[in-house]
Amino acid sequence: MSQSTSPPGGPDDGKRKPYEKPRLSQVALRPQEAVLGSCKMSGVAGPASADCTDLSCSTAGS
Amino acid sequence: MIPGDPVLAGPRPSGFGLDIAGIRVTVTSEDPAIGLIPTGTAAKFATSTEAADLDIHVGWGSPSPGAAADLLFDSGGGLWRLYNERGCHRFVLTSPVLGPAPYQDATFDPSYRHAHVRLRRDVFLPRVPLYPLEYPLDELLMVHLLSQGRGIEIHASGIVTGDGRGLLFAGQSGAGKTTMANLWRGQPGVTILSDERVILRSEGGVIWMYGTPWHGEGRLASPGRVPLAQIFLLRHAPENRVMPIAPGTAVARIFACSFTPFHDAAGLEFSLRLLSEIVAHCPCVEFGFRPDDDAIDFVLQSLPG
Repeated sequence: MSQSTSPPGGPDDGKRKPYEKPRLSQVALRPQEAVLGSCKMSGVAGPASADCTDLSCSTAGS
Repeated sequence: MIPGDPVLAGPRPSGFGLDIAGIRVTVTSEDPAIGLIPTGTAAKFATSTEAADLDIHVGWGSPSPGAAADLLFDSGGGLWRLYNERGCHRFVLTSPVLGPAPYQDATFDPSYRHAHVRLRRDVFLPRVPLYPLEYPLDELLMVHLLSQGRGIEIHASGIVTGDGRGLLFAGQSGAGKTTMANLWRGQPGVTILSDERVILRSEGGVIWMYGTPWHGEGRLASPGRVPLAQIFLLRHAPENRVMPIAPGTAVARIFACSFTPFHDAAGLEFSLRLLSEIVAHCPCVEFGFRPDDDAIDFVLQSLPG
């Protein structure tokens, strides 16, 4: 015999969601992108990044 | 007081200002041999050198961590390290092309209102004006300023539609940000805020999306802003398809496309709180798209209201 914790006519009466086991989902993080650790255009940064505009690496690591 | 910062005397030196996402930075030097200019797309964000959130002084020097500095964070790719020296943050920048010695460092006082940049003279061309905030320094300082309760930088392209709605297309490398920006390019009334980086801020109950100077292969960058209407998490697909995402998952996936100071617990906490607020305000969907003009019509038809 099952018992309900909410009274008859209460907010949960007949409307309880079935139990769903918690799930762990992982989201991929790309460390070098996330920490601004690379440059997309030339692999370097600063004044030596000749592939970037006007001696500056203005194209970020995408 | 920042260690190594020279005492300024006399009239205000020349330089330039930047306004990125409403955050103002001034860059000046008291050394007449140093010419300062914003280059590339940073020039689009140039402004006066008046009242700024951050004042940066630039000079020649010997960039180094400092004898008493503690390492706080290492980017791992050989580009930058962050040290704590007597309560100040110091970013030390290196490049494989320039050898193991740092070519530049930048020391910020604890409030991040004042900074001193030291440049290694031999790596810069003599008598050529320079931009002392080359990547990654410009983004690093902005990421830290944003994390102090101001906003968050997202790895995304930002579009303003012809009827003034802000659409954010987020994704890691290869997801299609520049491809998507190029599809919108040239459409009537459309503005591309960036094909690579946008900044989100919550101001007056509105989530604003700002353009940044940091572009992708499309070299698309604009200093405008627009209220954010919808977030699309990009992936390439054989057919156009939009799928709703639960708020918690949306926060996690946008966080994976965000730039935050990973060494700073308070900054991380603010970033996650802001992302939760953003997702509560703006619908977030996964967008599998086929890279042709049909994708634009598909997006416009999928927008609410």
